[in-house]
Amino acid sequence: MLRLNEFVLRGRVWKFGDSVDTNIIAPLHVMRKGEIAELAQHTMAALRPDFPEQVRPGDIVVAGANFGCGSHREEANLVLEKVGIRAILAESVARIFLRTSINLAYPTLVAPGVSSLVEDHEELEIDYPKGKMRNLQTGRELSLPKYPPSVEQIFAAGGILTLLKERCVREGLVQL
Amino acid sequence: MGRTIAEKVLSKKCLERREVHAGDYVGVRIDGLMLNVTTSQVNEKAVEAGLPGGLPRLWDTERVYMMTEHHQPPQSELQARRNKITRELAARLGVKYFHDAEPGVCHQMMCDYGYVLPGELIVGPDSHCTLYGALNAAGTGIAEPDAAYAAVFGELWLRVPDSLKVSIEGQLPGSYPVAKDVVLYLAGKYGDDMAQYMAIEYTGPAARQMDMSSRMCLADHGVELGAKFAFFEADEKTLAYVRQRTDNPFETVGPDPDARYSRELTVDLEEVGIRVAKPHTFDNVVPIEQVAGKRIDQALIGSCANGRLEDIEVAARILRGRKVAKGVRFIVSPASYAVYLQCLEAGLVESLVRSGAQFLEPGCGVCTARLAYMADGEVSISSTTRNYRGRKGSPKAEIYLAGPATVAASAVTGVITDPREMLNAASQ
Repeated sequence: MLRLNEFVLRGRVWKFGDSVDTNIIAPLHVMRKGEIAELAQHTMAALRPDFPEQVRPGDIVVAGANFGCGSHREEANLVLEKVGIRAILAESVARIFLRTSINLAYPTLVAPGVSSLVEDHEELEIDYPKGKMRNLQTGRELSLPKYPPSVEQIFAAGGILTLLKERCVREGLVQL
Repeated sequence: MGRTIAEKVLSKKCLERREVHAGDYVGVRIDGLMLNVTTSQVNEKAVEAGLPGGLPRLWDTERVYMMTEHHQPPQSELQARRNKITRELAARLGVKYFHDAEPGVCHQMMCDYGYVLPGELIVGPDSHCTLYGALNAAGTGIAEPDAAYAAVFGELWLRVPDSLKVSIEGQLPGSYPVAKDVVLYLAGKYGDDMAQYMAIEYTGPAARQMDMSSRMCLADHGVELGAKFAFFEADEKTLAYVRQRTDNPFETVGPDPDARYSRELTVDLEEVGIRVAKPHTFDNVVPIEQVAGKRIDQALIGSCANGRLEDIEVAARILRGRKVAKGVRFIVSPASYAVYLQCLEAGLVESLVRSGAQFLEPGCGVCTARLAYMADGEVSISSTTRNYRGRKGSPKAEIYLAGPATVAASAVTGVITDPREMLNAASQ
């Protein structure tokens, strides 16, 4: 469950450029065993070899345009969550990656201007309710667009799988 | 106010039965769900949701198209296990259309079997579902969690996309399929997110001249431009294609003359020429002249982008009387068994094999790190969908993307080569 209306976060930034594709995030050749834990040792390494070792729970990914482009790959969203990335902010996010984030209730925010707001390893504060993000080193601020209420509700429910289960129960498709 | 194709299709599918407009978030009823290689993972999502055993039912057993394609026969024990689960699911859920033990690319199979109809909204857990737009359908990729929801209830939430109109002007070259060059030209000029969250409508005289294969290439690659949908209008070619495959009813959808687009572009084929995307992004595009002469180790023709008869035919025409260059692996993988049969019947397989090509099973392996791996420093030119770093194994390998004629001509010389001279020679 993620109540966006309470979502305030401070974290260290890992900064990436444009068009980071899902194969960088979740390389197919290490998906063989279907284990997210194994993927976690390789995520982003093609661009930042130090990322899998050095990433810490609570960090934030900041990226340029079209983050998560390429193959649909739910594992790409899951592995970043697994290594502790608490939020992704990008100039733009590829459609399926963004959709999957929403459906998994994983905070992925389209934040135009974010690339010029922060540098690698600076601290960023995200204040979703106030619609603001702030560089804690420089004090510079930028506004943060909000999702429409219908999407905020998917986050609030905890993602589409919760909605699936609730509706199955409601319509008598399963007895639990 | 006039409406775009996307607005019209989604107005029809809207659960609230109202007219919807770009920017609206709506619940929609889907017409079809394509479930492919990841079917077992979709079921796992339902288990994860807390539903014992997984999906309790399908909302419509005749509108879920299931197939164990992509990597057939299984190339790992994991894949074999997942295919086995898919087989059991198809039986348990009573799926009417299930294709097992049939290699191919799901999107080509969806079209081959007549499952894609104009005006329909079809989704699936694969990004290249945009291909269905070639048949005037709204196709788009989703992920396993919402595929699980869609499987049980036949419903999804969607944002009605803004639309981008791309008019393709000029004469088709005739001697080679130009669709790949067009999409690379667009990506190079406007960026690989030029259509982010949008629906593309391809139109114009050259779009109308294109046959279904070329339209499929452009619609398929919609996702490489960021698009949610990539439509062509339905015409006599669309209707002939669909009618050869199914008697099911459908309604085609065209835009209103005063439809509102967020952007309108024109592509002049004369300006397109031959284009190549350099590593490692789809929009790193240059005219062929700037990369001609680059040494290659591998040349690939295949995938949902360019693995159809017209792609393999032009390769055979270029290779006729010629040989694959020594040291080059020239790999051809038809996009489906239906395409494979067309190639066999036309004598293309024999002719290409005699010239030194290797044929691979239809499927997605040719486009990903499943088959035809590449080592550090190796260079490939490929008509497949993507050139991202590490897509074919080593992150230090280089993938160039080009149309099938360019790939075939490069296979002959061993360096990236403008195919036009060989095509002229072949036609004389």
